Order: sequence, then C-alpha cells, then structure tokens
Amino acid sequence: MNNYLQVIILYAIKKFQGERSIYAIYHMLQGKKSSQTIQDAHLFGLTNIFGTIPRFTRQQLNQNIQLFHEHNFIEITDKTDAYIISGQGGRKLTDYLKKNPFPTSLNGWKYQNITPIFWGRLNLLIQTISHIVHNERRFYPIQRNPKIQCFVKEFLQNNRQDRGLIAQHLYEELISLLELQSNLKRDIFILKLTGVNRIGLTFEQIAKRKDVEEEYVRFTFLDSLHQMLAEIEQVTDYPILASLFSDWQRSGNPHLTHSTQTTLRYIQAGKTLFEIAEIRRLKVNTIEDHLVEIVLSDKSFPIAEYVSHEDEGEIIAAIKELNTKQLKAIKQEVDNKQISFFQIRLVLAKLGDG
Amino acid sequence: MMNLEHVLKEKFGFDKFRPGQKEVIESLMSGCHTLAMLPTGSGKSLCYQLPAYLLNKTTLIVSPLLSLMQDQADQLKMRGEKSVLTLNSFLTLNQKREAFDRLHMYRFIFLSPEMLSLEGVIKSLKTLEIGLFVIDEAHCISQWGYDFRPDYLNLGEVRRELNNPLTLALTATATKEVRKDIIGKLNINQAKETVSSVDRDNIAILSERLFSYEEKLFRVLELVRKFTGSGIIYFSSKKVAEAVTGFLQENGVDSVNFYHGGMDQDQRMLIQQQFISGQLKIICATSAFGMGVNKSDVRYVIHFHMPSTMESYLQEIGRAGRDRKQSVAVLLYSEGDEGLPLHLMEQQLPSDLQIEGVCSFLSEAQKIGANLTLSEKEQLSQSFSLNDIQLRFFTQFLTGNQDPLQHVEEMKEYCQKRKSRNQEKLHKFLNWIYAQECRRLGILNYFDEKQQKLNPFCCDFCGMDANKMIDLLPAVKVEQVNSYTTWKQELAFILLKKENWDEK
Repeated sequence: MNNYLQVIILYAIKKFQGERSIYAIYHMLQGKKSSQTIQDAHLFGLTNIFGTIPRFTRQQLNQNIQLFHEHNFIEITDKTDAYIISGQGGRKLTDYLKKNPFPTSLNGWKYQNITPIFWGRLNLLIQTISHIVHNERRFYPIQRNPKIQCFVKEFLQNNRQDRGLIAQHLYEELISLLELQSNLKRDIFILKLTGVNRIGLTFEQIAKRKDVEEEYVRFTFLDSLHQMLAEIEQVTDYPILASLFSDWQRSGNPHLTHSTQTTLRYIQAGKTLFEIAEIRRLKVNTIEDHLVEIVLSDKSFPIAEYVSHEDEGEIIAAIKELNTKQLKAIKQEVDNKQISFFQIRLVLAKLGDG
Repeated sequence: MMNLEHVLKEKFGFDKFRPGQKEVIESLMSGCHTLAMLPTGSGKSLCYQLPAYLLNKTTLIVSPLLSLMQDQADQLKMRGEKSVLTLNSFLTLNQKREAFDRLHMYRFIFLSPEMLSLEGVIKSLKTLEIGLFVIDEAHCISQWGYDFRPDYLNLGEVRRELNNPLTLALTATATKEVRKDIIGKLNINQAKETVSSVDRDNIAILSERLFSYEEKLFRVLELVRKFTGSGIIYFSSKKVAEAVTGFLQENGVDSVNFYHGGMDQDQRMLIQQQFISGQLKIICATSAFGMGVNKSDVRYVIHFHMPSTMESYLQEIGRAGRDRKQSVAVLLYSEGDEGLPLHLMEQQLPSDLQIEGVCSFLSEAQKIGANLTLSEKEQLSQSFSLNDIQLRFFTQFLTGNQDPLQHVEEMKEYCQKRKSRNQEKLHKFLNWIYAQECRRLGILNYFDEKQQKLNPFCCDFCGMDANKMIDLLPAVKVEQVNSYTTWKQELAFILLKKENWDEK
C-alpha cells in the first residue's frame, strides 16, 4: 500500500465484512445523503470517514479494488461486488496504521458540511487580520468563494473591537486548541495558513516537507479541524472560533437532511407516518427512511410507537443469533410475518455500531 | 475636455497613461464605439474603468471566464471601489434577487455571457441607464479566432436589445480578419479601432531545436539554473508538467511546483498566490495558468511544448516582463512536437460518427441537448465516449426544438470547417518555427504589422541566445527565505505585531 486513500478503502472493506458492495464505500466517502448510506455509516461504524472525500470517483475506487485483488488483500464473496479483507490485507492494514495512525477525531458524518465552510472562514479571517495588524491594506483574498468573503466582511463589521485585540484573542484561542493536538497536526495546520508575507502550502508541498504521503496529510488536516470543531462545541472558551460556525449550530439538527428535519417537526407535532406522507405528498417509504435517520442521530429517540417491545426483543435476539446486519437474513430468522423490514431497520438503527 | 490625467491621478494614483490607454479613453469619451487591441498586461481594464467615472452611468462588462471576472472585480474593490457587482452562478437565489433589486446602485456590473441568456436578466438590465458596454476578450466572438466561444455569439443581439449602448470591445491578440469579424458580429460598424503593436520589445524571442524528451529535460534544468527571477514553463500535458517538476526538484531546484486544471480549486489558488508573492519561483503549468495572474516581474517563459497558435504563444510569452524590464521567451521544439496540439485539437470537436450517433439517439429519445439532466449527459458521454468539451458542443448546438437529425449535416460541416481552421493556424505557427527569418518580424507579419524599429536584443536569428540573455536580465534581490521555527512562533508571526513576537 502506498497511499492513505487505499488505507481508508481497505478499512471500509474490513468494516463492511462483505455485507455491502464496494459501491457502498464509494457513496460513504462521497457522503451521499441517502438513507441507505447514512444507515450504513452507523451500522458499520463508519461515521468517521463519511463524506471525507467529496471528490472521490468510481474510477479511483475500481482502480484500487483491482489493485487489492492483484495483491490478494481482499477476497471475493458470493455477493456481487462485495469483498472481505484477507489475512494478508488485514496484516498490511495493521502495519500501515501502526506507522500512520488512523485519525482519531475524524467525524465526517457530523462535520462534513461545515468543515470546508469553517476552514474557509478561518483561513480568510486570519489572512485579513494578519494584514490589518501589520498595516498592509491591500491583499488578494485567498478564499474566492463570495459567500466566505461576505461572511468575513460582516464578521469584522459586527466586531468593532480593536483589530490588534481580535488578533490577540484569535491567537490565544488557536494556541490553546492546538496545544491539545499532535505535533504533526499542529504543523500541518500552521503550514496551511496564509498571512502577511506568506501563502499557505498545498497538501502536496506539506507532504514533501514532512516526508509523509499526500493523502495522509489531507486526512490529518481534516482530523485537526474536526478535533477543533468538537472542542469548540464542548467548551465555551473559544468565542471567536465558535462564532465562525454558530449559524450552522443554530440551524437545529444540522446533520439531518433537510427533508428529514421537516419530517421530524411533524412527528414532534404528533402526526403519524401516514399522515406526514399525505401532508408532504411523499411515499410512506420515504418518511420511514427519515425516521430511521432520526433514530440514527439520536439513539434515545422513542420508537415504541413503531415497534412493540416484544417485537423489538425478537429482532434483537435474531440479530445477536446471526451476528449480521443483513435485513433479509434477520427477517427470515424472526419468521414473523407481522414484523416489517422497516421495523428491523429501526431496531438496527437504535442498536447502532455495536 | 476634462483633464484625463487629473482623473487618472485621483482615482488610480498613476501619473501617466500607458501606451494606447489615452487614445481608447478619448475615443470613448467622444462617443465612438471602440475596438481596442492592447497587449496583455498593458492595463486594458483601465480603458473602461476610467470612463466609468466620467460617464457616471452603469458600466456592464462581459467577461468569458469566471476567475477573470472575479479578479477584475477584486482589483477594483482593492482600490476602494465599493459599487461592484459580479453576476455569476456562484450567487445564491437570495443574493441574485437582492442584486437585481439594487441593480441601479452599481457602477460596475460584471457578467458572464451565459448569465445574459437567462430569462429576466436582459429585462432587468434594460431598466438601467447603461453608459458603457464592455466586451472583454472580444476575439472569443469570432469563429476565426483561436478561442471561439459559442455563447459569445449572441452578444450582438444583446447589444441591440439594450438599445445599442456605447461599446468597447477589448482584445489582446486579434488578426485583421478577427477584428473585422468582431465589429461585424457586434454590429458596431462605425467603430474606431485603436490597435497597439503586438510586439513586446522587452522580451527576447528564442527558439531552440532539440532532439529528444531527455534533451529537453536537461535543457530546462540548465535554463532555470541560469536565469534569475521568476519563470513560467508551459506544457500541453498535465502529466509532463508534473514529471518535469519532479525532475527539477530532484536536481536541486527547490522553488518549483506544477499547476494544472486537474488540481483542486483550493490548491491551485495557493500555487498561484505563492508564485505572485514570490514564495514560489517557477511554475510548470498548462495553459490553464495565466489568465488574471497579475505579476509584473516574470523574467522568462519557457515552452516545453509548442502552443497550437501564434495567438496563444503571444498571450503566454506576454506574461513575462510586464514591468517593462528585459525578459526572455524560450521555445523548445523537437521534430514531431506538433503531434500533441494536433491531437488535442481533434479532441475539441466531435467526430462525424459521434455527431450521427448522438443526434439519432437524442432524436429517438425526443430530447434536445440543452435540457438534458446530469445523468442523461453522463450516459451520453459514456455511450459515445465524449469528453466534456465535446459534450458541451452538443448542449450548445442543439438548443432549438427541431429534431436533432435535421442538424447533422450542418454540425458536420461546422466541425469540418473548425478543424481545418485550427490545422491551418497550427501550420502557420509551425512555419514560423521553421522559418529562416527574424522571429519578431514573423510575428509582426502574422498580424499584418510593419516593424517600427530594430530591436537590439531581438531573437535567435538576430544573434541572441540564452547565454547572452543571462547578463541582460535585471539583477534580482535575493530575498530571505523564512524558515519554519516552531508552530507557536509561526502563528505569532502571522497574527501578532512584531513587538509581541518574542515574549510568546
């Protein structure tokens, strides 16, 4: 193995245990907002890498699968396009991860939407403040997205404090966050920054400089940002950095898809799934998908209205017995015509990664 | 007449006009439609920016590339101009609505041509008092030009709908034929033409004959070691650009990186800004690099691969020496190099077979090219192995409601014509490489210009070579390279005032 992308793919194959096709990996890394992908992310414990390579292509996937196959890292199963990791592949993966540990704070499922926005704003804010503090009025904004530019402009209009003071506080917030991170993460984060007299480095340049592989740099940087986001959400000590994504935090359950949020509001208003489907002119199936998504994001969400305690127990027993997450197999095992696939999915969702 | 120099000083901070600028501005201020050909880097945008202040009405600027448009808008904003609007697909629906509500408040409105074809846009623009209608990169309107863009074609119609506003067509490189075409297509027949020479007399023009890829590699290494200052090396292939970057780095040339369209937007931006700021000295790039890159002290441009037309060649070498100081362009040619641009040109248009296939497919499915969904497009590309450019050709060509089959012959003929056009241009450029005469004279001939005066550091035919150039290039101040200290210290350098650096 020679790059981290391969590590991530192989890691996903390992987690899927042959129960999903490789295209599920493709959707997972791309962060496809479908119920199936969202459910899979939770069922197989892959929420961390969800949506972490938005530019991932089928071609990249196929090339790597072929490569794994040639090196006997994976073995075919009786399902089309589904593979399991081989003993050899498992050893390779462990070896590689020893040298380049898996990102520990990565949380793609939660942060995939906000990460580029948070970074864009932070990146441009630092560049702007850096120039102001050093009395340089003119500079070329490193972030080209007009929305990002607008945000930073408004941020500075709303914070009328002395610019030197803002810089000082921003500096302190960043220092205390970075103190919590590994050496490599800190260096990568700092090298990405643009300020007066310096332009940030590309992942490729950082990789050369640090003598690590480019994709690994990219993932480590993502890890660093996710760690910051999580820390800022938990503690109130970072007012400036928190204000860079408070709009996102205020928007309710931001990791739910838009449509699911609407469904959630109806459920909270006491409507049944059939009623919601009617009001929203959607299929009941779709509303059921939404409910599964809701339970995935909040394991304590009450499901008794949709699955009786008795049925739930039966389903859990079947899952434990078979040790699988395949709906069909579970349905056969419970052998109860009254229990639907939807109910099994709900229970699976509630059980989560375990 | 108002004092133009006064406005120049007040609004732009310059004491003097650069060659050609005043002529264009005077022509516009006397109410004449104007076609201005000014070489790249000669301050074309000032030609509409200054009149905008004098006319005190809205100035519309149509620009072909999103990045170019944003660059120009940002540069205006950097100068403190606040009433600048860029209308492009980046804006959210709300932002668009807001923009249209306040349209009359803006002095400068930048538009991409496809925005003009959207319903309602023209209607809103019609409510404005348009002082000046500017078409940047106007050669894109001409099918004889080297960079024809079909969505430029309806600009003539747009002009008419906007009630024939005062018009400025700007271009850097256009032959006589193309200039005539621009005027015709825009229907500004009485336009005044101000044509500056395409000759950039501070750039020495060298061509070198080599015999293999390896030889080229070592020659490039030699050249970048010899030349001081910043340089761009142009390639027609992303892969080769990356490979040569690697080769240079392995041989101790540190400050070099590649740049091409296959990279992430973010990463491209970083490389471009590193180059402009001087942090990065050399760029190995495809033609995707350069538009909107404002760097005045590029000392040399090397062509590892030949471009496919004289116009692109001039545009690319024109990125050197904008500070008017002595600079140099080196074209490395080995026999057979023309195969690559020939191949690339072929790929820009669909083949007869593809035209037939796509049209009968669309006809059966009763679809037109303009209304295809993303997945339909993907399917079409796969079944007929179309690349993005070829696919765009169909979506742009088949917009009407007629059966696509009726267009087959027309499309074939069009492609045939374009292909032979392109080949002709390539051959002309190749002839120039092989010609046994002064290179500068060859360029001037191509644009029907007469040589004004002899150039002491002209070209390889007139006795120049890369070694002689070394002494002629201006000396470069060696800048201190910042070395990385600790992460804390680096963050302090960025965010804190100098007096607070050390206590941290």
